[in-house]
Amino acid sequence: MKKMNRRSLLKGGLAGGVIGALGLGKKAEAAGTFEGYPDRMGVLVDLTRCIGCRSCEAACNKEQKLPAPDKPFDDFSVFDEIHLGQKRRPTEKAYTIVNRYDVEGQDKPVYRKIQCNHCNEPACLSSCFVNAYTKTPEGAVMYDPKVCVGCRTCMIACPFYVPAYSYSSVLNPVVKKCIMCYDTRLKFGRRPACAEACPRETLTFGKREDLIYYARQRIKLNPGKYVNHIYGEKEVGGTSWLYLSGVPFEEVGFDTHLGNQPILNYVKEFLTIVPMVLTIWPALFAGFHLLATRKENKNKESESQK
Amino acid sequence: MLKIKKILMLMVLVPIAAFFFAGNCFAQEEEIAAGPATIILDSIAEYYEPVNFDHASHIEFAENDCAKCHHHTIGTPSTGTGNCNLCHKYEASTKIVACRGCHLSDPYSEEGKKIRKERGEVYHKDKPSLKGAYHQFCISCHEEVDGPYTCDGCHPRTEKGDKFFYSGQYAPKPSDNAGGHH
Ligand code: SF4
Ligand code: SF4
Repeated sequence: MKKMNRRSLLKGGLAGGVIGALGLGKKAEAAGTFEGYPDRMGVLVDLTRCIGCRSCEAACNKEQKLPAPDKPFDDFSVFDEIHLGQKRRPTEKAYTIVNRYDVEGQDKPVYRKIQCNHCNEPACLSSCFVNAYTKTPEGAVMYDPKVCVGCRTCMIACPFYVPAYSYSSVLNPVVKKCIMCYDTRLKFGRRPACAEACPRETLTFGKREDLIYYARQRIKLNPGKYVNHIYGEKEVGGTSWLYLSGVPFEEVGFDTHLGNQPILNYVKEFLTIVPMVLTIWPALFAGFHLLATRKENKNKESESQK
Repeated sequence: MLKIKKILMLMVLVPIAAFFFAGNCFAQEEEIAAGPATIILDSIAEYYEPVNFDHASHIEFAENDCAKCHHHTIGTPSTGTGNCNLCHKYEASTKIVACRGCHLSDPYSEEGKKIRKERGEVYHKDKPSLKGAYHQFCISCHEEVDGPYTCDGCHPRTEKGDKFFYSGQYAPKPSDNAGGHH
Protein backbone atom coordinates (compact mmCIF):
# COMPACT_ATOMS: atom_id res chain seq x y z
CA MET A 1 0.00 0.00 0.00
CA LYS A 2 1.28 3.43 -0.87
CA LYS A 3 1.98 5.40 2.25
CA MET A 4 -0.18 8.45 2.46
CA ASN A 5 0.57 11.11 4.99
CA ARG A 6 -1.84 13.60 6.43
CA ARG A 7 -0.80 16.30 4.02
CA SER A 8 -1.04 14.38 0.82
CA LEU A 9 -4.45 13.32 2.01
CA LEU A 10 -5.43 16.94 2.33
CA LYS A 11 -3.77 17.88 -0.91
CA GLY A 12 -4.89 15.02 -3.06
CA GLY A 13 -7.99 13.77 -1.36
CA LEU A 14 -9.82 16.71 0.04
CA ALA A 15 -8.64 19.68 -1.93
CA GLY A 16 -7.90 18.01 -5.20
CA GLY A 17 -10.95 15.80 -5.25
CA VAL A 18 -13.57 18.27 -4.20
CA ILE A 19 -11.97 21.16 -6.05
CA GLY A 20 -11.78 19.12 -9.18
CA ALA A 21 -15.42 18.24 -8.83
CA LEU A 22 -16.43 21.82 -8.18
CA GLY A 23 -14.11 23.30 -10.80
CA LEU A 24 -12.64 25.93 -8.45
CA GLY A 25 -8.99 25.19 -9.02
CA LYS A 26 -7.97 28.47 -10.64
CA LYS A 27 -8.21 30.69 -7.58
CA ALA A 28 -4.87 29.73 -6.13
CA GLU A 29 -2.73 31.55 -8.67
CA ALA A 30 -1.80 34.61 -6.63
CA ALA A 31 -0.31 32.57 -3.79
CA GLY A 32 3.47 32.41 -3.44
CA THR A 33 4.10 35.96 -4.61
CA PHE A 34 4.04 37.56 -1.14
CA GLU A 35 7.65 38.34 -0.25
CA GLY A 36 6.94 38.46 3.45
CA TYR A 37 7.71 41.06 6.07
CA PRO A 38 11.16 42.46 5.20
CA ASP A 39 12.57 42.63 8.73
CA ARG A 40 11.26 39.38 10.03
CA MET A 41 13.51 37.55 12.40
CA GLY A 42 14.46 33.93 12.51
CA VAL A 43 16.81 31.39 13.98
CA LEU A 44 19.54 29.52 12.16
CA VAL A 45 19.96 26.02 13.59
CA ASP A 46 23.39 24.55 12.89
CA LEU A 47 23.09 20.81 13.44
CA THR A 48 26.87 20.38 13.34
CA ARG A 49 27.05 22.33 16.61
CA CYS A 50 24.32 20.62 18.60
CA ILE A 51 25.46 18.26 21.34
CA GLY A 52 22.04 17.19 22.52
CA CYS A 53 22.32 18.77 25.95
CA ARG A 54 18.59 19.63 26.01
CA SER A 55 19.19 23.03 27.61
CA CYS A 56 16.89 24.49 24.96
CA GLU A 57 14.09 22.18 26.03
CA ALA A 58 14.52 23.19 29.66
CA ALA A 59 14.61 26.87 28.72
CA CYS A 60 11.39 26.53 26.71
CA ASN A 61 9.68 24.80 29.60
CA LYS A 62 10.63 27.62 31.95
CA GLU A 63 9.85 30.50 29.61
CA GLN A 64 6.47 29.17 28.50
CA LYS A 65 5.58 28.01 32.02
CA LEU A 66 4.91 24.49 30.79
CA PRO A 67 4.08 21.61 33.14
CA ALA A 68 6.86 19.50 34.65
CA PRO A 69 8.36 17.10 32.12
CA ASP A 70 7.91 13.34 32.44
CA LYS A 71 11.67 12.94 32.82
CA PRO A 72 14.38 15.38 33.91
CA PHE A 73 15.88 17.45 31.10
CA ASP A 74 19.25 15.87 31.75
CA ASP A 75 17.84 12.38 31.23
CA PHE A 76 19.14 11.32 27.84
CA SER A 77 17.10 8.12 27.66
CA VAL A 78 14.45 10.23 25.93
CA PHE A 79 16.52 9.94 22.77
CA ASP A 80 15.63 6.24 22.66
CA GLU A 81 11.91 6.80 23.09
CA ILE A 82 9.60 5.71 20.31
CA HIS A 83 5.98 6.85 20.29
CA LEU A 84 3.68 5.19 17.77
CA GLY A 85 6.70 4.09 15.75
CA GLN A 86 8.24 7.57 15.71
CA LYS A 87 10.86 9.55 17.55
CA ARG A 88 9.66 12.26 19.89
CA ARG A 89 7.58 15.15 18.54
CA PRO A 90 6.71 18.50 20.05
CA THR A 91 3.65 18.10 22.28
CA GLU A 92 1.30 20.33 24.20
CA LYS A 93 3.65 19.95 27.16
CA ALA A 94 6.89 20.53 25.24
CA TYR A 95 6.94 23.02 22.37
CA THR A 96 10.44 21.99 21.38
CA ILE A 97 12.29 18.71 21.59
CA VAL A 98 15.67 17.39 20.49
CA ASN A 99 16.13 13.99 18.85
CA ARG A 100 19.26 11.94 18.32
CA TYR A 101 20.16 10.26 15.03
CA ASP A 102 22.92 7.73 14.54
CA VAL A 103 23.96 8.37 10.97
CA GLU A 104 26.06 5.86 9.08
CA GLY A 105 29.62 7.02 8.48
CA GLN A 106 29.45 9.56 11.33
CA ASP A 107 31.48 8.83 14.43
CA LYS A 108 29.27 11.10 16.51
CA PRO A 109 25.48 11.12 16.74
CA VAL A 110 23.65 14.01 15.10
CA TYR A 111 21.05 15.92 17.10
CA ARG A 112 18.12 17.79 15.70
CA LYS A 113 15.90 20.29 17.46
CA ILE A 114 12.26 20.46 16.40
CA GLN A 115 9.73 23.24 16.97
CA CYS A 116 7.38 25.35 14.86
CA ASN A 117 9.35 26.66 11.89
CA HIS A 118 7.31 29.85 11.68
CA CYS A 119 6.64 29.58 7.97
CA ASN A 120 6.59 32.62 5.72
CA GLU A 121 3.25 31.48 4.45
CA PRO A 122 1.98 29.24 7.21
CA ALA A 123 -0.31 26.40 6.27
CA CYS A 124 -1.82 26.43 9.74
CA LEU A 125 -2.81 30.03 9.19
CA SER A 126 -4.19 29.64 5.72
CA SER A 127 -6.06 26.47 6.56
CA CYS A 128 -7.77 28.00 9.58
CA PHE A 129 -11.18 29.23 8.48
CA VAL A 130 -11.85 31.26 11.62
CA ASN A 131 -8.49 33.08 11.35
CA ALA A 132 -7.16 31.98 14.71
CA TYR A 133 -3.58 32.37 13.43
CA THR A 134 -1.52 35.46 12.60
CA LYS A 135 1.99 35.97 11.26
CA THR A 136 3.55 38.93 13.07
CA PRO A 137 5.93 41.33 11.28
CA GLU A 138 8.68 39.97 13.55
CA GLY A 139 8.16 36.56 12.02
CA ALA A 140 6.31 34.62 14.71
CA VAL A 141 3.23 32.61 13.86
CA MET A 142 0.76 33.21 16.68
CA TYR A 143 -2.44 31.51 17.66
CA ASP A 144 -5.50 32.93 19.41
CA PRO A 145 -7.32 30.32 21.49
CA LYS A 146 -10.33 32.62 21.88
CA VAL A 147 -11.09 32.36 18.18
CA CYS A 148 -10.27 28.69 17.68
CA VAL A 149 -13.24 26.38 17.32
CA GLY A 150 -11.20 23.22 17.76
CA CYS A 151 -11.61 21.76 14.28
CA ARG A 152 -7.95 20.68 14.11
CA THR A 153 -7.51 21.48 10.41
CA CYS A 154 -4.23 23.26 11.26
CA MET A 155 -2.82 20.07 12.72
CA ILE A 156 -3.44 18.31 9.44
CA ALA A 157 -2.32 21.21 7.28
CA CYS A 158 1.06 21.82 8.95
CA PRO A 159 3.76 20.19 6.82
CA PHE A 160 5.93 19.73 9.92
CA TYR A 161 3.26 18.21 12.19
CA VAL A 162 3.70 20.94 14.77
CA PRO A 163 0.43 22.12 16.32
CA ALA A 164 -0.50 19.91 19.26
CA TYR A 165 -3.80 19.87 21.07
CA SER A 166 -4.27 20.24 24.76
CA TYR A 167 -7.27 18.27 25.92
CA SER A 168 -7.00 19.38 29.51
CA SER A 169 -10.47 20.84 29.06
CA VAL A 170 -12.83 18.71 26.98
CA LEU A 171 -15.01 21.56 25.86
CA ASN A 172 -12.22 23.98 25.28
CA PRO A 173 -9.31 22.22 23.61
CA VAL A 174 -6.55 24.59 22.56
CA VAL A 175 -3.67 24.36 20.16
CA LYS A 176 -0.26 24.48 21.80
CA LYS A 177 2.86 25.26 19.83
CA CYS A 178 6.06 27.30 19.82
CA ILE A 179 5.37 31.02 19.44
CA MET A 180 9.05 32.02 19.17
CA CYS A 181 8.65 33.57 22.65
CA TYR A 182 6.73 36.37 20.96
CA ASP A 183 4.99 38.00 23.90
CA THR A 184 7.86 37.75 26.36
CA ARG A 185 10.87 38.30 24.11
CA LEU A 186 10.58 38.58 20.33
CA LYS A 187 8.22 41.55 20.56
CA PHE A 188 10.95 43.40 22.45
CA GLY A 189 13.68 42.41 20.03
CA ARG A 190 15.06 39.70 22.29
CA ARG A 191 15.95 36.24 21.09
CA PRO A 192 13.89 33.20 22.09
CA ALA A 193 14.72 31.52 25.41
CA CYS A 194 16.04 28.37 23.73
CA ALA A 195 18.49 30.37 21.64
CA GLU A 196 19.75 32.21 24.69
CA ALA A 197 20.19 29.00 26.68
CA CYS A 198 22.04 27.05 24.00
CA PRO A 199 25.68 26.75 25.09
CA ARG A 200 26.97 25.96 21.62
CA GLU A 201 25.21 28.76 19.80
CA THR A 202 23.59 26.08 17.70
CA LEU A 203 20.70 28.55 17.55
CA THR A 204 21.70 31.88 16.00
CA PHE A 205 19.03 34.55 16.22
CA GLY A 206 18.87 37.33 13.68
CA LYS A 207 17.13 38.85 10.72
CA ARG A 208 16.14 36.03 8.41
CA GLU A 209 17.95 37.75 5.58
CA ASP A 210 21.21 37.94 7.57
CA LEU A 211 20.89 34.35 8.71
CA ILE A 212 20.79 33.16 5.12
CA TYR A 213 24.00 35.09 4.51
CA TYR A 214 25.65 33.59 7.61
CA ALA A 215 24.58 30.14 6.53
CA ARG A 216 26.07 30.57 3.07
CA GLN A 217 29.30 31.89 4.56
CA ARG A 218 29.56 28.93 6.90
CA ILE A 219 29.09 26.53 4.00
CA LYS A 220 31.65 28.38 1.88
CA LEU A 221 34.31 28.81 4.56
CA ASN A 222 34.18 25.25 5.85
CA PRO A 223 34.47 23.03 2.79
CA GLY A 224 33.25 19.52 3.47
CA LYS A 225 31.61 20.38 6.76
CA TYR A 226 28.08 21.02 5.53
CA VAL A 227 25.78 19.71 2.85
CA ASN A 228 25.22 22.57 0.44
CA HIS A 229 21.67 23.35 1.41
CA ILE A 230 19.85 25.66 3.80
CA TYR A 231 16.71 23.84 4.84
CA GLY A 232 13.88 26.32 5.18
CA GLU A 233 15.25 28.89 2.78
CA LYS A 234 12.88 27.70 0.09
CA GLU A 235 10.93 24.78 1.55
CA VAL A 236 7.17 25.37 1.58
CA GLY A 237 7.77 28.97 0.56
CA GLY A 238 10.47 29.56 3.18
CA THR A 239 10.47 29.42 6.98
CA SER A 240 11.80 31.72 9.70
CA TRP A 241 13.74 28.86 11.22
CA LEU A 242 16.56 27.69 8.98
CA TYR A 243 18.83 24.66 9.22
CA LEU A 244 22.38 23.71 8.30
CA SER A 245 23.50 20.11 8.47
CA GLY A 246 26.64 18.08 7.98
CA VAL A 247 24.66 15.06 6.81
CA PRO A 248 21.89 14.79 4.20
CA PHE A 249 18.74 16.27 5.73
CA GLU A 250 16.60 13.21 5.07
CA GLU A 251 18.91 11.17 7.28
CA VAL A 252 18.06 13.26 10.30
CA GLY A 253 14.31 13.22 9.93
CA PHE A 254 13.71 16.21 7.64
CA ASP A 255 11.05 15.85 4.98
CA THR A 256 12.92 16.70 1.81
CA HIS A 257 9.92 16.14 -0.46
CA LEU A 258 7.82 19.10 0.57
CA GLY A 259 8.71 21.23 -2.44
CA ASN A 260 9.15 24.98 -2.48
CA GLN A 261 5.54 25.94 -3.01
CA PRO A 262 3.78 27.28 0.05
CA ILE A 263 1.21 24.86 1.35
CA LEU A 264 -1.11 27.83 0.93
CA ASN A 265 -1.29 27.05 -2.75
CA TYR A 266 -2.95 23.78 -2.00
CA VAL A 267 -5.05 24.67 0.98
CA LYS A 268 -6.19 27.93 -0.53
CA GLU A 269 -8.08 25.83 -2.97
CA PHE A 270 -9.38 23.90 -0.06
CA LEU A 271 -10.27 27.11 1.70
CA THR A 272 -12.31 28.48 -1.16
CA ILE A 273 -14.53 25.49 -0.83
CA VAL A 274 -15.00 25.78 2.88
CA PRO A 275 -17.97 28.16 2.72
CA MET A 276 -19.37 25.94 0.03
CA VAL A 277 -19.01 22.92 2.21
CA LEU A 278 -20.79 24.71 4.95
CA THR A 279 -23.77 25.51 2.78
CA ILE A 280 -23.78 22.02 1.38
CA TRP A 281 -23.68 20.42 4.77
CA PRO A 282 -25.51 22.62 7.24
CA ALA A 283 -25.09 19.91 9.79
CA LEU A 284 -21.36 20.44 9.77
CA PHE A 285 -21.86 24.15 10.17
CA ALA A 286 -24.20 23.60 13.07
CA GLY A 287 -21.55 21.46 14.66
CA PHE A 288 -18.90 24.14 14.39
CA HIS A 289 -21.34 26.77 15.54
CA LEU A 290 -22.25 24.74 18.54
CA LEU A 291 -18.61 24.33 19.42
CA ALA A 292 -17.96 28.02 19.02
CA THR A 293 -20.90 29.20 21.07
CA ARG A 294 -20.28 26.61 23.72
CA LYS A 295 -16.86 28.01 24.15
CA GLU A 296 -18.15 31.55 24.18
CA ASN A 297 -20.59 30.64 26.89
CA LYS A 298 -17.87 28.95 28.77
CA ASN A 299 -15.64 31.99 28.48
CA LYS A 300 -18.48 34.17 29.71
CA GLU A 301 -19.04 31.83 32.58
CA SER A 302 -15.46 31.87 33.65
CA GLU A 303 -15.36 35.62 33.30
CA SER A 304 -18.42 36.12 35.43
CA GLN A 305 -16.86 33.93 38.05
CA LYS A 306 -13.93 36.25 38.40
CA MET B 1 33.06 36.30 46.95
CA LEU B 2 32.52 38.17 43.73
CA LYS B 3 35.02 40.77 44.81
CA ILE B 4 37.68 38.20 45.45
CA LYS B 5 37.10 36.79 42.01
CA LYS B 6 37.38 40.21 40.50
CA ILE B 7 40.63 40.84 42.32
CA LEU B 8 41.89 37.46 41.20
CA MET B 9 40.94 38.28 37.64
CA LEU B 10 42.72 41.60 37.88
CA MET B 11 45.78 39.99 39.36
CA VAL B 12 45.81 37.67 36.43
CA LEU B 13 44.85 40.06 33.70
CA VAL B 14 46.71 43.23 34.57
CA PRO B 15 50.16 41.70 34.18
CA ILE B 16 49.15 40.18 30.85
CA ALA B 17 47.76 43.43 29.61
CA ALA B 18 50.87 45.24 30.79
CA PHE B 19 52.94 42.61 29.12
CA PHE B 20 51.27 43.00 25.77
CA PHE B 21 51.29 46.74 25.89
CA ALA B 22 55.00 46.62 26.62
CA GLY B 23 55.75 45.17 23.25
CA ASN B 24 54.94 42.31 20.98
CA CYS B 25 58.39 41.23 20.03
CA PHE B 26 59.06 38.62 22.67
CA ALA B 27 59.62 35.06 21.70
CA GLN B 28 56.66 32.76 22.14
CA GLU B 29 58.28 30.94 25.07
CA GLU B 30 58.38 34.13 27.07
CA GLU B 31 54.77 34.82 26.30
CA ILE B 32 53.89 31.45 27.67
CA ALA B 33 55.82 32.11 30.82
CA ALA B 34 53.75 35.24 31.33
CA GLY B 35 50.39 33.61 30.64
CA PRO B 36 47.87 33.40 33.45
CA ALA B 37 47.95 30.14 35.40
CA THR B 38 44.24 29.98 36.15
CA ILE B 39 41.32 31.89 34.73
CA ILE B 40 37.94 31.95 36.40
CA LEU B 41 35.15 31.89 33.88
CA ASP B 42 32.11 33.24 35.61
CA SER B 43 30.69 36.09 33.55
CA ILE B 44 27.38 34.31 33.03
CA ALA B 45 27.49 31.56 35.65
CA GLU B 46 23.94 30.95 36.86
CA TYR B 47 22.88 27.37 36.38
CA TYR B 48 26.47 26.21 36.73
CA GLU B 49 29.37 27.04 39.02
CA PRO B 50 32.16 29.14 37.51
CA VAL B 51 34.90 27.24 35.69
CA ASN B 52 38.39 27.32 37.11
CA PHE B 53 40.20 27.10 33.86
CA ASP B 54 43.71 25.74 34.24
CA HIS B 55 45.44 27.81 31.60
CA ALA B 56 48.91 26.54 32.51
CA SER B 57 48.16 22.91 31.75
CA HIS B 58 46.31 23.84 28.59
CA ILE B 59 49.49 25.47 27.32
CA GLU B 60 51.13 22.10 27.78
CA PHE B 61 48.24 20.28 26.11
CA ALA B 62 48.52 22.65 23.16
CA GLU B 63 52.26 21.98 23.00
CA ASN B 64 52.98 25.69 23.29
CA ASP B 65 51.03 26.43 20.14
CA CYS B 66 48.94 29.35 21.41
CA ALA B 67 47.31 29.83 18.01
CA LYS B 68 45.40 26.61 18.58
CA CYS B 69 43.05 28.59 20.81
CA HIS B 70 43.99 32.24 20.35
CA HIS B 71 43.53 32.28 16.59
CA HIS B 72 45.59 35.08 15.10
CA THR B 73 45.98 37.27 18.18
CA ILE B 74 49.46 36.11 19.21
CA GLY B 75 51.03 36.75 15.84
CA THR B 76 51.34 33.25 14.40
CA PRO B 77 49.17 32.17 11.48
CA SER B 78 45.72 31.26 12.68
CA THR B 79 44.78 27.62 12.77
CA GLY B 80 41.12 28.52 13.04
CA THR B 81 38.51 28.58 10.34
CA GLY B 82 35.70 30.96 9.74
CA ASN B 83 35.14 34.58 8.97
CA CYS B 84 38.01 36.11 10.98
CA ASN B 85 40.60 34.27 8.90
CA LEU B 86 39.49 36.11 5.79
CA CYS B 87 41.34 39.20 7.00
CA HIS B 88 43.37 38.25 10.03
CA LYS B 89 45.08 34.99 9.16
CA TYR B 90 48.64 36.34 8.85
CA GLU B 91 48.33 39.34 11.09
CA ALA B 92 50.97 40.41 13.63
CA SER B 93 50.16 39.90 17.28
CA THR B 94 47.54 42.18 18.74
CA LYS B 95 46.92 43.80 22.06
CA ILE B 96 43.74 41.85 22.44
CA VAL B 97 44.49 38.33 23.56
CA ALA B 98 41.85 37.34 26.06
CA CYS B 99 38.86 35.49 24.58
CA ARG B 100 36.48 38.15 25.79
CA GLY B 101 38.50 40.79 23.98
CA CYS B 102 36.69 39.69 20.83
CA HIS B 103 33.88 37.39 21.95
CA LEU B 104 31.31 39.41 23.88
CA SER B 105 29.57 37.81 26.80
CA ASP B 106 26.23 39.04 25.49
CA PRO B 107 26.34 40.45 21.97
CA TYR B 108 22.53 40.65 21.95
CA SER B 109 22.26 42.95 24.97
CA GLU B 110 22.07 46.73 24.62
CA GLU B 111 25.58 46.88 26.07
CA GLY B 112 26.80 44.32 23.54
CA LYS B 113 25.24 46.19 20.64
CA LYS B 114 26.88 49.39 21.84
CA ILE B 115 30.33 47.82 22.05
CA ARG B 116 30.01 46.34 18.59
CA LYS B 117 29.00 49.69 17.20
CA GLU B 118 31.89 51.46 18.94
CA ARG B 119 34.34 48.96 17.57
CA GLY B 120 32.90 49.47 14.13
CA GLU B 121 32.54 45.77 13.60
CA VAL B 122 31.07 45.97 10.15
CA TYR B 123 32.65 42.77 8.92
CA HIS B 124 32.49 40.91 12.21
CA LYS B 125 29.33 39.07 11.38
CA ASP B 126 28.27 35.76 12.83
CA LYS B 127 30.93 35.91 15.52
CA PRO B 128 30.16 33.55 18.40
CA SER B 129 29.45 35.01 21.82
CA LEU B 130 31.87 34.22 24.61
CA LYS B 131 29.69 31.34 25.79
CA GLY B 132 29.32 30.06 22.24
CA ALA B 133 33.04 30.30 21.58
CA TYR B 134 33.97 28.39 24.74
CA HIS B 135 31.46 25.63 24.21
CA GLN B 136 32.17 25.23 20.51
CA PHE B 137 35.90 25.28 20.95
CA CYS B 138 36.44 23.51 24.26
CA ILE B 139 33.95 20.70 23.72
CA SER B 140 35.11 19.94 20.17
CA CYS B 141 38.68 19.58 21.38
CA HIS B 142 37.71 17.71 24.55
CA GLU B 143 35.82 15.17 22.47
CA GLU B 144 38.94 14.52 20.44
CA VAL B 145 41.42 14.30 23.29
CA ASP B 146 39.00 12.63 25.72
CA GLY B 147 38.82 15.60 28.05
CA PRO B 148 35.60 16.15 30.00
CA TYR B 149 32.79 16.95 27.58
CA THR B 150 29.62 16.59 29.60
CA CYS B 151 28.21 19.74 31.20
CA ASP B 152 29.22 18.93 34.77
CA GLY B 153 32.62 17.67 33.63
CA CYS B 154 33.74 21.33 33.57
CA HIS B 155 31.20 23.08 35.76
CA PRO B 156 29.06 21.43 38.46
CA ARG B 157 25.42 22.45 38.32
CA THR B 158 24.03 24.84 40.90
CA GLU B 159 20.80 24.28 42.76
CA LYS B 160 19.20 26.80 40.44
CA GLY B 161 20.43 24.65 37.58
CA ASP B 162 18.91 21.51 39.09
CA LYS B 163 15.59 23.31 39.26
CA PHE B 164 15.94 24.46 35.66
CA PHE B 165 16.62 20.90 34.49
CA TYR B 166 14.04 19.29 36.82
CA SER B 167 16.88 17.18 38.11
CA GLY B 168 18.23 15.99 41.47
CA GLN B 169 15.84 16.99 44.22
CA TYR B 170 13.60 18.64 41.59
CA ALA B 171 13.22 15.50 39.47
CA PRO B 172 9.60 14.76 38.52
CA LYS B 173 8.07 12.08 40.76
CA PRO B 174 6.47 9.16 38.92
CA SER B 175 3.06 10.11 40.34
CA ASP B 176 3.32 13.53 38.66
CA ASN B 177 2.89 12.02 35.22
CA ALA B 178 -0.10 9.81 35.85
CA GLY B 179 -1.57 11.17 32.62
CA GLY B 180 1.32 9.81 30.58
CA HIS B 181 2.05 10.67 26.98
CA HIS B 182 -0.64 11.37 24.43
S1 SF4 C 1 5.54 24.94 11.01
FE1 SF4 C 1 3.37 24.35 11.01
S2 SF4 C 1 2.50 25.37 12.83
FE2 SF4 C 1 4.49 26.39 12.36
S3 SF4 C 1 3.93 28.13 11.01
FE3 SF4 C 1 4.46 26.40 9.65
S4 SF4 C 1 2.47 25.43 9.24
FE4 SF4 C 1 2.16 26.74 11.03
S1 SF4 D 1 20.71 23.77 23.81
FE1 SF4 D 1 21.81 23.89 21.83
S2 SF4 D 1 23.37 22.26 21.93
FE2 SF4 D 1 21.89 21.85 23.57
S3 SF4 D 1 20.39 20.44 22.63
FE3 SF4 D 1 19.55 22.51 22.36
S4 SF4 D 1 20.28 23.17 20.35
FE4 SF4 D 1 21.54 21.40 20.93
